[in-house]
Amino acid sequence: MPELSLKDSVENFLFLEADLLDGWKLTEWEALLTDDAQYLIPPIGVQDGATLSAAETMFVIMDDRAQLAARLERLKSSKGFCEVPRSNLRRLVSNVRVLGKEGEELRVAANFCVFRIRRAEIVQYIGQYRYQLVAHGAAYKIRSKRVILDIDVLRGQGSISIIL
Amino acid sequence: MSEAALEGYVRINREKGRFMVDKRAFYDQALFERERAYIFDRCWLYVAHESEVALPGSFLTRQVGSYSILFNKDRDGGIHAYHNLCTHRGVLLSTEKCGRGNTFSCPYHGWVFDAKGKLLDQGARSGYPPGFNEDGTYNLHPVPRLEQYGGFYFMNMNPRAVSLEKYLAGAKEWIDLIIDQNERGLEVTPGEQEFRVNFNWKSITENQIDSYHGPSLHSTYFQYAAKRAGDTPQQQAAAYAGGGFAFGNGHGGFELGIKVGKPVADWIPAFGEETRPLIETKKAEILAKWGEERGTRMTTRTRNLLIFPNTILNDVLSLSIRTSYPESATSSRSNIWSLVPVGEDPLVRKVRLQNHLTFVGPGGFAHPDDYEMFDRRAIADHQSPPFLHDYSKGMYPGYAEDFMVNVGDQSDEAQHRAWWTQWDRMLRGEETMEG
Ligand code: FES
Ligand SMILES: [Fe+2]
Repeated sequence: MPELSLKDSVENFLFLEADLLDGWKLTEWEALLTDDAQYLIPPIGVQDGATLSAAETMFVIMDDRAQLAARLERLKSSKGFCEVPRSNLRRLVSNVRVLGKEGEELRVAANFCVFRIRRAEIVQYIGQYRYQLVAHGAAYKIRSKRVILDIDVLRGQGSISIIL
Repeated sequence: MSEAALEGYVRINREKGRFMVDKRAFYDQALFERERAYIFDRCWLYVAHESEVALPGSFLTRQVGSYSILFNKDRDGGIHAYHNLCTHRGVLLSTEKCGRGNTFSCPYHGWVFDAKGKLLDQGARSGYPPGFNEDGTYNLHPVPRLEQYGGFYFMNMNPRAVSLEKYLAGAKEWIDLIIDQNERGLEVTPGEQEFRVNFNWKSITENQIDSYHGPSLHSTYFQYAAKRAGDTPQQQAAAYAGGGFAFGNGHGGFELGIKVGKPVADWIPAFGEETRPLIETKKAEILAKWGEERGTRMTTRTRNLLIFPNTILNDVLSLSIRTSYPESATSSRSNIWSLVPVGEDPLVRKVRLQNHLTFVGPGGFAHPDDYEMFDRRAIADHQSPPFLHDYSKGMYPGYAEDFMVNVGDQSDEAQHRAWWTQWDRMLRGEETMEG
């Protein structure tokens, strides 16, 4: 079998990640994170979501590893009421590009559309992912995931109750 | 809406100690227009904080109620609020969220206005007599009243409304508790949160003064908060004690002792050792300046204040201000801004923003659960027989107190009763807030 190109191996990894999140396999998803991983959602309706600093601007989510662990624990519990029962999720990930490589770290961009289906209503989150991935065995781990939303206003329940 | 139809939304039975609200208040189509005319057009509505137009020549546009507002500072430091509307043929004048500029021009026919609202140019050499705008008819239309308290600007569509200061009544004390925490003043951070939802604005609004639901609905948040604060669940539960207050004119809120960390002056382990000396120094300064009692309230106690009808100030794990407006009887728009002390150390700023996001906003650990409840209520509204929501907690048979100025346990519903009483009186035109 021919060896996978860098782009294919990254794409495979992102597709696997998408599958885990759509399937609510949160423990398995957490295993893809490095110990210092962060998960960021910059404010909605801005042009510079890729570069804004969460230390100066009010984000929608700025999770360090500990806060992300607490978020996942909350979502797994029966008391995370916003997702009881859990919504159906499906995401399309495409236009995967490796933007750069520094040491063992890859910078990756991918476009997404996440559908949250709940009570006959479909909410769409459209945007671009920016990842920092580090090589781990034959695959990768996520050191940073930044979710840049293109939608200019949150609709539906006005929440982001799922992992995007 | 006929006057008779307005009777009966709020049902009070003092003898039995019952305060109830008809579920129709959360979806009746006719209420949308009635609330606009009798409540939103007669009350002081939050527009913006002074820091958002700090520099002369800066402006922002914002929807306040059903109006698009252009809020700006002119070269001489004057602050204005205009309807964001070209006076020629009513085209939206500015489509920028914010910016700098000393003139506003309308692309349609080229009318130009200055920052004081004056029409400078009609973009045409002929067709207008000299003195066409002598009486100022064609200048930008200012909102009838614009006043500020502590840097918070409010507008009122009723020229005869009571002054903002009089309107705020007892709520001023809590605004002062917030303002006095910071000698150099407050500013709004970049990053506004806005969302639209499919339920009535009153669901969002009344929730902000509802402390009762915390331990039940937000147990996952409180577990995390206890961990961040280094508290045992027992310590946390003991600190929950506080009070619920009604301040007059429908304003109200609750105050708690629960330890969630206040970046201004109440350090918790989750803030990290490097911020500890900074935050503890600030706490000592506040206590020295304002005394033990007031200083302790400012630094370690948390409060949610609702200024009738819909402006909320959260002085909890961060400072924030928010509004919720109806877009229809069953849909709303809500905005949250984060307020920070001017000149705050960057390390403290970072933990402040992170602390804010543990609880507040669309991605917080609490907000999505609240909104799920509002959604469930909106569903049940259409699937239930005639029904009255109950707001009787802390009210007993033979209750004789004034709902408008009242104190109760933090988890009681005294502050809700004040808010709904004002809503009911204004809706029926019994109270106009003029004078
Ligand atoms: S509508 Fe603005 S210039 Fe005519
Ligand atoms: Fe809540």
